[in-house]
Amino acid sequence: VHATLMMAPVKERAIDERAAASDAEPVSAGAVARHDFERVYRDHGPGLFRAIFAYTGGRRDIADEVVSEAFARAIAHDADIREPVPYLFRTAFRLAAKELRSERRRPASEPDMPADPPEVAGLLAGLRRLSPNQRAAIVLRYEADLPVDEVARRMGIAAVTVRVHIHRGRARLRELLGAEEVDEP
Amino acid sequence: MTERWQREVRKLGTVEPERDAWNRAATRAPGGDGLPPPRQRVVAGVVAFGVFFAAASFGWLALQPTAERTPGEVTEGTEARVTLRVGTEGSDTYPVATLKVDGVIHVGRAMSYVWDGASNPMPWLEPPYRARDFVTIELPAVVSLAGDADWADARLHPPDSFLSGEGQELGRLEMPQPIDVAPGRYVMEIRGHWRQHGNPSFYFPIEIVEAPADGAISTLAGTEWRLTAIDRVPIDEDGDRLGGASVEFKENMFGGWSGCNSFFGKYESDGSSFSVDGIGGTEVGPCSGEEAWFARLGSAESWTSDGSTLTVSGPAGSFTAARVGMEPVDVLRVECLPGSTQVLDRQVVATAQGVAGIFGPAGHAKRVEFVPVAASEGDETEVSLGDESTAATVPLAPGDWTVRCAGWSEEIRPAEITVLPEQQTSTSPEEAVPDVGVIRCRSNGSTVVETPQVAVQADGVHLRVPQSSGAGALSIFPEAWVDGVQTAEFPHGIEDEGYVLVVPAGPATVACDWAEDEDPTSRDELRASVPIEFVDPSGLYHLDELACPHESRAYPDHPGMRAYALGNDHVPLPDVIRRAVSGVRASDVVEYGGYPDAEERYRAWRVVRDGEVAAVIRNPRSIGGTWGFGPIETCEGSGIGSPGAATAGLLGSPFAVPGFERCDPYAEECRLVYVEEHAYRVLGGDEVTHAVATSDDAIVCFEDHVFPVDCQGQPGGTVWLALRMSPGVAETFTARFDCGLSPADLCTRAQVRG
Repeated sequence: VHATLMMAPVKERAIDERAAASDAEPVSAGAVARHDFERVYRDHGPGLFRAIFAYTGGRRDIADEVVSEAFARAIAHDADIREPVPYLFRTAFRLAAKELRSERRRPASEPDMPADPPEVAGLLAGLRRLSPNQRAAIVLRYEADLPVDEVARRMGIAAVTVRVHIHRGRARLRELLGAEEVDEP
Repeated sequence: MTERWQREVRKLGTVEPERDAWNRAATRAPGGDGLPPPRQRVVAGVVAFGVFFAAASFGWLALQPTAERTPGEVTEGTEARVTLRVGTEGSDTYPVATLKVDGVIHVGRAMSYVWDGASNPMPWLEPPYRARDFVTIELPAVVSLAGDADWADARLHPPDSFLSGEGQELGRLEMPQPIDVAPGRYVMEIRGHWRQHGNPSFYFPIEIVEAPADGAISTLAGTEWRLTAIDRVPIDEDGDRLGGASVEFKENMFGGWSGCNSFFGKYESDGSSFSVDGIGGTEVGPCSGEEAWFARLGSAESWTSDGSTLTVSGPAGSFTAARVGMEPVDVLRVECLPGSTQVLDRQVVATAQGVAGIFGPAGHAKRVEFVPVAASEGDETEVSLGDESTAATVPLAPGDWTVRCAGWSEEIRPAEITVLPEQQTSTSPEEAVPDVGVIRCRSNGSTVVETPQVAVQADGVHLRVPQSSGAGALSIFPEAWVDGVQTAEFPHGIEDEGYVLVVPAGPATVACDWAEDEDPTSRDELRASVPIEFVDPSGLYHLDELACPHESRAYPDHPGMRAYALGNDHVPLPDVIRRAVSGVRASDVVEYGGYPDAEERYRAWRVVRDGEVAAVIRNPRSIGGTWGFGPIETCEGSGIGSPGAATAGLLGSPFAVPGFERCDPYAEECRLVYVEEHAYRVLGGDEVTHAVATSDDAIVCFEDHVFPVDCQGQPGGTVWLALRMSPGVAETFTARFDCGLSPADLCTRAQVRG
């Protein structure tokens, strides 16, 4: 008796390493900034993953790769980073945007994406009707419960722009997923 | 209470990264395997432009007049705004000085200064200065102060001898101080005073110039031009790619569109002299004439302009360009900004009915008034503004008109336009509608639609956005989508590529978004969106929105699961849909929705019943020889799709399952079936003694028979089960997917869902 199972392969992602280089925030010469990135990952890694997962419209493969790369860069630039969380989010968003863009430019290939997790399949179908920035703003605001200013800081865009993204994304999701009031589970 | 969509969003909290993600992150080298070489040229240029335009946009916003002016604030002329503030870095504090003129921010320099009792050296811009070091300030002008200094004063020094202490006092900057000096070059010294810290001085090289005569321009900065001729030979608008070429000049930098590539570079201009320091750009494709134009631009030594025409000359030859906004247009665009009436084009061509225009939206005014400059030219008229941009034809006779936003408490500056007589054209209507739209995002925050109508193509609406304004995205709001939007993003602020957007044919509005930088309109969600129409004479677009007001979500099989029809990707998808989705009647029409050749992720199929869209299936994909699709949008009461109740997933089922009679007729050779746990229990018996639990997104591989499951069946859980398939099919699977996991892994990976 023998049976085997294989997950859909994760492609090696082409990511421009320069894309996030500008996010390193230099500190004064001689200063030492050490961060416990394992703890940062514990506290913020899953949230970062979900934000990128949403931003990419449910692309687990890109989210995994981008989050790993963002942490790898943060660890490499430890001494230069003042606030690791905004750095990680901005780096990851830039890498994900870069990857989505480069995918659009690549010739079409056989799709190999796995099916969406059933719990969020409907949500992802709705989110895909939004722009990436709208998805990210909505998820950071309503899933991570971050205030608008913090969403803006993590996405690296202006708060006013975040409000526009949230406004438009919220309206679209109301239409797609329903606006009627429901009890919290 | 929470809205349903919010609860759905919170479900995303169940999605977790891979368990070993941290180990992978901690042990990998940044920028590791698989990274391509950096595209340094374009990236560097784009980043530089992004920074530049961000500063320009921010400054433009800050210079807009507001309703709440205090005495002494600038009401007209150039404002040179000095900002002094205390910066911090760690526990250190230090003074910072900037000068903002015409929206561009310049950093002040000091040789050294005393601060908190200590002498501090500082990077110093040493004389003699180059032409580009001087900040141009056009008379009349004032110097004003912002920031957190207790006070500051200003002096103007001759640039060659200011270190000797000579100079002209402009006075304490408690109020804006007029710059009342002869045109020429100076070094402006700003001495700030902080009671607790010190009183450092900062220096800005500036050039005071007279305002140009009407129509003429004194600087290229802030102008945009459309190429009209090279070496006095006119551009062939139809046959030459350079027909759409344009260039926009900012302070010391330029950017533009050559017809197929975007480009950018630095330039210096002192009076009429002109020199370019390299041209960078994309290399999307060769462009006839581009090389010739760049050769003349790159070697140019001088420029002249009467305000509407620009001629740039050098040893390689010359080119001529027309000022964008100065050419006659067919559609007048008026926007009402705080304190000013903005007219994007000064000349507009009338039709027999008058002047077609797009006005508003309301916000800072309630109406737009038109008053003839000469009394004999006609009567006053006006257009009322709405919440969105208003399209209207205004009965204006040829001649000069004053246009003024009105209906607000504050005074709004008017603008002037010239209405030209109707032109006779021989262009046929068919030829007049392009199949590629052109939309521009202006640095003042406005959106300009150069093609009010665009013909759709088989894969969607083709748009080009040759902009260098710093806008981060373009949003399209089709009327067919209630409050829906499709967004084209250009994250780096400059985008030269064409976009193919999958939006419905018909009327829509578009608006530029500033996704990366401050929105220069400062109007947040009220930013004007401009009408455009996507015409579809061939009926390529099939509406893929449900006709009914109440939409429900249904499933091809069971919730969240894709429908599978193994090995049948040769079967026409409408036939697969008819078999996979319950409730589709024989009289229903199953056909593509949206555009027939749309990018795969945007493809949709629709079920049309009695002429109306009753169901939409989005993004069906063929994966490994299997058609798959997710939730179905259906009209309530249509009976299409399973409303969420679990079924046995009978596509390809070789079993006769009580209560689940459907069976895929194309699946005679297929022996793979997915069922849920309770269905497994229903099935029971000898038929399903062998089953494998899998994660929902896994592909199951078999050899000659299957693995008996012990790990599934936890009470209340849902387990996806894959039942046995024939040896031949299993062999194909094994070879195709290179299975490599042990049976033990199956149990640990099986997902049991509560």
